[in-house]
Amino acid sequence: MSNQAGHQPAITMRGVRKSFGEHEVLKGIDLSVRAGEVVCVIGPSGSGKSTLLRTINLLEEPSAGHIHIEGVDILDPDCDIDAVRTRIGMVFQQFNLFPHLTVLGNLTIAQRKVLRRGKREAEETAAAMLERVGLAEKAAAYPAHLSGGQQQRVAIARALSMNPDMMLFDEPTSALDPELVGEVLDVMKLLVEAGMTMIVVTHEMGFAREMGDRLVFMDEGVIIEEGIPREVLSGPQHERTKAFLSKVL
Amino acid sequence: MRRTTRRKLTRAGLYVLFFALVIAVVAAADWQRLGEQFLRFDIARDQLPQIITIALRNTILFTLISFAGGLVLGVVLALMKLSSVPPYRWFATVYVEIFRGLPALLTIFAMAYMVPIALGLRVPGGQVGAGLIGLILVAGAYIAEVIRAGIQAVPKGQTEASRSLGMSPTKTMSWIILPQGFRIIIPPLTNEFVLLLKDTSLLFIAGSTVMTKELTTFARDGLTTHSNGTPLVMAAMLYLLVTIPLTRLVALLERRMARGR
Repeated sequence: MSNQAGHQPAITMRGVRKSFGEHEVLKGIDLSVRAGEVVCVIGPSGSGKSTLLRTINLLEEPSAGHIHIEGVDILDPDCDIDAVRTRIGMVFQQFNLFPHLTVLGNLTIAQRKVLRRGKREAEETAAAMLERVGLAEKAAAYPAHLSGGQQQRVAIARALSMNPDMMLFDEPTSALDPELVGEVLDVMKLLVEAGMTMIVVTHEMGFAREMGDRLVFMDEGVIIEEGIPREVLSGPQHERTKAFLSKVL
Repeated sequence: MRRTTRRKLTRAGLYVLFFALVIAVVAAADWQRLGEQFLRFDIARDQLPQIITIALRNTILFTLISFAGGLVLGVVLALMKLSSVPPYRWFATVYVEIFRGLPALLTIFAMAYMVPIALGLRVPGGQVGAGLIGLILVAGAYIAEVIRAGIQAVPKGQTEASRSLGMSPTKTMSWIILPQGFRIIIPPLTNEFVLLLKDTSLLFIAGSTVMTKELTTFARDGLTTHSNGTPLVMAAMLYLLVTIPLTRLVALLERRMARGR
């Protein structure tokens, strides 16, 4: 998937801060993600983990700090952020499918309008991605006619249709009924096995333990602790990590 | 049991009251005089076919022109009102407040007489052309507010999903937000269309020639010529002949699109 030659990290964040008015949500984040690495981010609600994810593709503009994507400084005013975003797939908690377009339309619109792919090529790519998430037969359906789990799988296929180098997941299973969580996690596992670079904000500790290369615990806008998921989950070093894990495990 | 009996009696009473009132009104009316004043077939025949070939045609044509113009102006004003550049927002806000606050009649009058003199302009289409521009200016103000509300009703997540796919703000607006916004505003936009259809009757203030009369002006001339209300009744029926099928059609369209979503 990755098209870079060197060993530069996929994502580098240095001293990233973000304030909404008086309230500082991110208080200096340093995080580096290697190509092919799967990083899971956990933490209590309001800890800033979603904001962290959203600064990576500039849905939120940091108040201070530096962010590099595959070596490109995205906070440079001359940086073409739209071009960078085509390389970063994003999956939202609320799916955010385009309700006025069919599943196929959802998967082809950005390919056609941004990557300038022809109709044929866009549809072939879309069909291949739908196949990957197991929804090839739903191409003509509208999002409203799909279950939550199917909608989220379409959202993943939509992001993949741009052939991104990395994927960001913002609590992808939090809005789903419990019986639909598994099908989405299964699709994500396939991506991990295919070597995709991923940052996953999640409450699914099982997924984090099993599929993550690294686990990051955040609280009150800072990274408290990080390490190999199994080690962090079974032997947290920090008091706040222990307190959080004792509540969720 | 007792309560249901009472409810049935109340319902029966309401029916009786309704029909008694209708019968009373029908009986009290002087049908002979009403017929003479409002439904004279010889006068009706005299109004035909011009009331349709000229007046109805003009009413529909003027409505379509001012709606199309108002729609374009409305989209521009709505986008200005949502702009991140303050002067655009100020301009759109002031514009909407002024043209929504003034009676349409005054705007049409101003465009037909005052502005051409003040600016030394010759408006294409003569007096009616100038009047139509007045109507477009007013329609734009109302439609701008409808469109702005439609755009803002599209959830923020749609913009975020579109931008995160690399779509620029312009592409996001054109392909994701506006198509959804327009679905939301079809009912209020239909309402604007019907209001505009009726407001074409105000174009008389701009002055009209034989060929540019719309329904109300045509019927008023007929009223003067014949000293009889029949032309007004005909105009009224022709207005309804357009508006009722239109609103029914839009309702049908809306139901069909609701199924697609």
